[in-house]
Amino acid sequence: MKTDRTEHPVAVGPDSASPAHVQPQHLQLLEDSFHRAVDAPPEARQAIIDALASSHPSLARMLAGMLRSDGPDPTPALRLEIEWPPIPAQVGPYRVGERLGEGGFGVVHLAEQSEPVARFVAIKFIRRTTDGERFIQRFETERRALATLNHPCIPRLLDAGTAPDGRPYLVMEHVPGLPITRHCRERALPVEPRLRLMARVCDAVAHAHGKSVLHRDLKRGNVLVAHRRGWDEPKVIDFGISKIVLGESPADPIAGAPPPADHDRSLLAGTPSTTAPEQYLGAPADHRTDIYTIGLLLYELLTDAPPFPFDSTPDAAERRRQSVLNTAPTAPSLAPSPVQWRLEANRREHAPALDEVVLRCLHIDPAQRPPSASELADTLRAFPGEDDSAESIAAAVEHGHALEYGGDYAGAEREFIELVPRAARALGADHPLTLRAESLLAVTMQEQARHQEAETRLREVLERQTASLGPEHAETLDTLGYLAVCIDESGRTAEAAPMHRAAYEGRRRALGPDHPKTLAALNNLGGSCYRLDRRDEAHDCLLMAAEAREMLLGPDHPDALLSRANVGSILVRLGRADEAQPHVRRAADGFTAVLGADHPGAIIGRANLANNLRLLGRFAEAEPIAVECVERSVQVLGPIHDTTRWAFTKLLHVLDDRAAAEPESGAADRAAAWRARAEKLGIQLTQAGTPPVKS
Amino acid sequence: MLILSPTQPPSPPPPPPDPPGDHELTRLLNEVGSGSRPVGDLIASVYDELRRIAGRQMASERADHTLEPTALVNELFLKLSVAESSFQNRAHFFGAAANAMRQILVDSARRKLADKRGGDRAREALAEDALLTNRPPEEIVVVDELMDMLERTDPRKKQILGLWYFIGLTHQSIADLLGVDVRTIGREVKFLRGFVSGHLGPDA
Repeated sequence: MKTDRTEHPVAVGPDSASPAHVQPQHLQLLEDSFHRAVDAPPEARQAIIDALASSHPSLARMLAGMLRSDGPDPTPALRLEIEWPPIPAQVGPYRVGERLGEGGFGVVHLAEQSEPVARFVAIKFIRRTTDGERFIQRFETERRALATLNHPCIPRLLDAGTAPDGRPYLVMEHVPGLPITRHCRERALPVEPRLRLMARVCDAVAHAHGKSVLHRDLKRGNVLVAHRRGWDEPKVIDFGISKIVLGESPADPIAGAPPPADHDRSLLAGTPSTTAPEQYLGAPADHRTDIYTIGLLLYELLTDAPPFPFDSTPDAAERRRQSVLNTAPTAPSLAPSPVQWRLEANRREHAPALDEVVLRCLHIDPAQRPPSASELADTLRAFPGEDDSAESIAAAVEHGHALEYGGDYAGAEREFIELVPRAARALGADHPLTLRAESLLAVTMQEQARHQEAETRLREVLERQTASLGPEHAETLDTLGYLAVCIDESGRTAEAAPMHRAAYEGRRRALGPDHPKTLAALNNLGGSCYRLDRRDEAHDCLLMAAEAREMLLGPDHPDALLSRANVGSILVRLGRADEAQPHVRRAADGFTAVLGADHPGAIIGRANLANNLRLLGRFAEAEPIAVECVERSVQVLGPIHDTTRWAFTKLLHVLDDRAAAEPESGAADRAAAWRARAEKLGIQLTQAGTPPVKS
Repeated sequence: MLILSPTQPPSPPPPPPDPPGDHELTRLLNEVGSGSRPVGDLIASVYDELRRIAGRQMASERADHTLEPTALVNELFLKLSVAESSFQNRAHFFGAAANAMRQILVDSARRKLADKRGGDRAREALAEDALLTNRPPEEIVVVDELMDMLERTDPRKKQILGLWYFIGLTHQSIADLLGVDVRTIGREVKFLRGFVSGHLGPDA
């Protein structure tokens, strides 16, 4: 801030106090002594004053004056009551509550939403600051980054907008958790679960890197561990200073590229306690900078202390810089308080290998670090677990499958992603259980709309199953069916249809025509015909599957309900919306009752109902159902999910039709608002929505 | 589009224009914010505006009524912060505010000190000064001198002292404004407070 002052109108009088008591060059010394004295117990203060007096008597007199408790106590001459506008108490449907935290650019509050879905969310506002313009850009970067990412260990972006006072905000999934270091310490977790948590963090970071997003601020406060449905799930939060590396794959080293224009300022905005060596040296951050910070976290989790200490003393940043650039950290197992020694004397033999991994992450030369976060995740998972018997692995496969069936795709993914290396280690990479776990892992990814990842894995598993079990083996056919669904959901139905048929016919031969899996394949085959607009064929398949499933499984079984819903869909397509109505409603109610309102199947069922009501012109009934489906889908499945996009499309159909039929209803404005929100969330709306398949 | 029929009653007279001071300040603020005008211009205007408000207040208040100093300044800043609706201007805004208030308070303090030494002043100006603050003028003058010294040796300390002493921002607000941790500001203010106090001596 520059001072612009005119001359004093009145000269300083001889009796006014003179500030010349302290030479400018002694200011720092005075300040250091002052803080030391203030922080010291009162009886120790005189000693500090005396020590100063030996070299600087006048400074010591000043210090004594400053510390005198009965001296003058300056207070502000004015107190402006005007503050920056406070965080609004209500923003759209969100009632803003307590402050959860504050980052470099934003302040995060807990907020409660009551309509149309009751939930707690985290709402982030731009921080009140001097540097508004740049921070707004950063905020926009964070929104774009979050709108690109879709991983169970990264909080979902739920909404984005601008408050009435012009302040932009982001609404995100609320993560009620502790920083990972505190979580592990408070629960006294042994090394293995700590490594598993960090492997999961690596998964999330690898996902971000795969989407060209660098996090750049992976400090402990930005990795929270939430306890949900009996699991500890880490979440990587605060993409506030993330960087989207457009046109470059962060998997390739970006070294040599000119530093981005905002490089230095970004560095300052980051956290001095996690600065990587290359950042000190002025090189641009790349994906290996994130790997370095993962290394810092790993180190701290294994020793309960960071490798390069950082405190709040004034020269801490410089001291850290010196030690990062000039010293190698002690191996974690040799650190003063290594967690692994204290907790697991019987696993000492792995300590050198683990030390090596951690120190490699912390290597001063980025090229010497693990080349990718996914490779680091694999390495961490390769450390032996507690129980690798075939029984425990089989039980875990079933548990994961149950989670998947219950709609907890993230929980299932977590189960399988740990299980695959365990099973491979204990039973062999081509053991049927290992392959089944891999196949189901891919399914959970596909169910979270990570089709590309899923398809690659499924093709690979299918090849190995075909080789080791044979093409007609039930498990090979399972994978074939999953692959068909995955390709179908990626929008390549024509390519998927023959695979659906092959899966159906194979299962009919292997399992019989009435086996639930055969019927599931028949249903999926009918679904692909529906999407290819082969209506009669679709009608026959779907009806046959529905009748058999109701008979075999009972009318309230989720699969039977799904089939009933599909019958409703084909009747709608055949122009028989009125006839479809009872099917659609029964399916929607049944799903919600049996699976719960948050289950993806129940959301699809209700969105179908909304669509059906729209076709019947019952817009006032359809709209709230459609809105609720969108909100739930954004929450449960995330914005980047076929079901969410599809629910958005259905809602907009309802609103557009309603706007045309009932102009006074205000539906046109609401449609425009929803379209804006879809855009903020990165949802690309298609012209015609087709209901997602579900095996 | 509404088409006015000839039978429509005449439209009401246009609202009176904004008082020139407000309008001028808003425009100035925007220009300072965009960098096309020096901050000094804003200080001068803030100063003038404050005197204008003080004059009006005194004209309308009963003679025995003491106006809270803060209330007076707040009226001005309320106006300014309504104008200051975007985020970008905050540094300029509060920086200019601190500088303006420093100048106004120091001028007033020096007049009071001169008065003590037997100066002769108009009653009006004296009453105006009384509206500003109740801090001892000696303290204000010392802070002013320290500001000059810190400007040369530690501009950030000077900035913090200005925001804290002359416009009384909270630690949190200063931290937000400068983009540093609030605890750092707490520590700085603690020192600066001691520093001022040390320069005042026991009888101040």
